[in-house]
Amino acid sequence: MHRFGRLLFLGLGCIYAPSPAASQVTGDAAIHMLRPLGLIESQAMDFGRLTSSSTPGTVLLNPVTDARTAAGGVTLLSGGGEAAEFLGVATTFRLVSFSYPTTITLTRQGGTETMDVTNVTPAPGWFNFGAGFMLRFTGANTVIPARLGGTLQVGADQAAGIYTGTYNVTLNYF
Amino acid sequence: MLPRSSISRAIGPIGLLAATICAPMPSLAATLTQSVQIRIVIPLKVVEIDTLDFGGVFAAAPGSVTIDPATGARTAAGAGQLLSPTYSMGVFVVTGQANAPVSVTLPTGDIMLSNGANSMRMHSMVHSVVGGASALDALGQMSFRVGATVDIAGTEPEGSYSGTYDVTVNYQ
Repeated sequence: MHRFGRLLFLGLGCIYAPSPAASQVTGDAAIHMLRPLGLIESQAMDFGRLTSSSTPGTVLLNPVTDARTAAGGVTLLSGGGEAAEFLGVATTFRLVSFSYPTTITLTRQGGTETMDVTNVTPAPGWFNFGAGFMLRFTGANTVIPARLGGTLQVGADQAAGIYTGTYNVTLNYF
Repeated sequence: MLPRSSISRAIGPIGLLAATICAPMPSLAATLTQSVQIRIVIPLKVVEIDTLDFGGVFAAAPGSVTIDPATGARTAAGAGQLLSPTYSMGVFVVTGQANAPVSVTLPTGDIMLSNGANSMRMHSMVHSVVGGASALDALGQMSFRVGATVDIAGTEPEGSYSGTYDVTVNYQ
């Protein structure tokens, strides 16, 4: 009878198969190495995920906080929202200039539809002359961050997809 | 009347049949409920919210950079290092069974961060559960942060070095 009971126990086990109890995810890690008088992009400008509607709208990306603010017919979805960040290192006592475009055009991957990022705006910490040009003086050896936000113009019924674009920035060490 | 041994032989195949089709047998169920533990568990789900990003680092000499997930502080070891203002801990959100204790497992070996041609060593990965208790709350949620140390030679070419690491969350 003992053997009989064990068999039945195994039989019940086949009904109540336990759910998988573990979950695994892949995390990302990064470090950005700087050299004197160099320039790297440490964070790409990203407006995150959003939906369009029959009404045009905008997404304002804050260059300091990475926060997004939607207006008009745009609804923000969770995830994303990062200002661009560029880093350089100056040697002692230098005047540096940073130039950037005030408008960036994004094109849908696999398509021709476009969206513009207008009013590209830097984070404070520079003397901003407008029109995409700013200056800064450095004291001792210093990491020079330049962060950029902007306003994404989303059209009425903007086609779904991933929109990307590239732009040039220049850091001059005088 | 059959002899005792014949009865055993007759019941044996019935037992096997019951095991195969898993049909309940009321007369036996009463003795077996104590040995079968049934636990319906909501599967755990883990999502990465933020990248473990040590920020920009200039170093002319060997050293290291460490992020402490308990305090959120980033510290540099080595002479004359310069750090950019912004960096971030790895941040993960777990959902599952309310109030269930869980364990978080991070890689114990080295993780290589690469720029394509060169690599840097990340190690000593640690996590810190927001709120302290390593258990899901009454809503079945938990959040934890991840930190680590990256060794720096001081001769690395300029650029971004990136890599991935596995995070496993288990019911305890």
